[in-house]
Amino acid sequence: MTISIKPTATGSTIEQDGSTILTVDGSGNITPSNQLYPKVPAFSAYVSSNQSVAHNTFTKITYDIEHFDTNSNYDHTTNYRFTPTVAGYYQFNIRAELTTDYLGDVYVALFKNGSRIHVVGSRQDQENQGVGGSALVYANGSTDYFEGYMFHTIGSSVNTSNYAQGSHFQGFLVSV
Amino acid sequence: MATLYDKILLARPNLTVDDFYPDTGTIVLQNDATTPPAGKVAVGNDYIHTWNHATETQPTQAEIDGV
Repeated sequence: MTISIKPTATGSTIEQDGSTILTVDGSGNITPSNQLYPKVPAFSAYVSSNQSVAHNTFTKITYDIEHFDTNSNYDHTTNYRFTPTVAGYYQFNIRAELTTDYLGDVYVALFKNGSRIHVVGSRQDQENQGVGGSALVYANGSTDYFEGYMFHTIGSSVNTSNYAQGSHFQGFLVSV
Repeated sequence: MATLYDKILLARPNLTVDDFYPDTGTIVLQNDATTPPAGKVAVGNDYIHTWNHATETQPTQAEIDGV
């Protein structure tokens, strides 16, 4: 491999085997020819319509509208789950917003492969309109999948809000 | 319309909300936003996921349908 530094009219270029890999301008700003960081799985989704959630029942929230999904790993049409294709440690942020304040307990939880692994947020005996939280978990990059659920003790069924900034489910790779 | 939880309390009146809590409960009701797994006692998409209560037996689908 041959690495060379060549001056230009405005700065210099660094070449590898004759191909420019970095450009440096006269102020020292460096521009790579390709992304310095590889694209990693990350997604953000919210709910498009009110979803009825029965009391005392862990219910999957159908986050069906994507803000973004960099690696097409989030299923926003059928199972509302994130199945990352890169193994590593992922942070998840989950929030569920209700249509109005209710007196009762509300929990949100992260499920991995269909089982609850973290209650990421809870509020008890208060007027609740929303609750959220985060968790850091490992994914094997092939079969592991993740979903957001909520649970409440409010008198009967309540509706989640379709307020785009209120109920959301997000995840992203932190470390391989 | 009565929920699965409502119907369970009618069928098993000795149960309380504490039996269903995430941290203390021994009974888990769940809704996966799809048809429940085959064989599960259910009302709509709500179904009995786990029943580990020490004294109360899990109601059957017929009991739930009948209350």
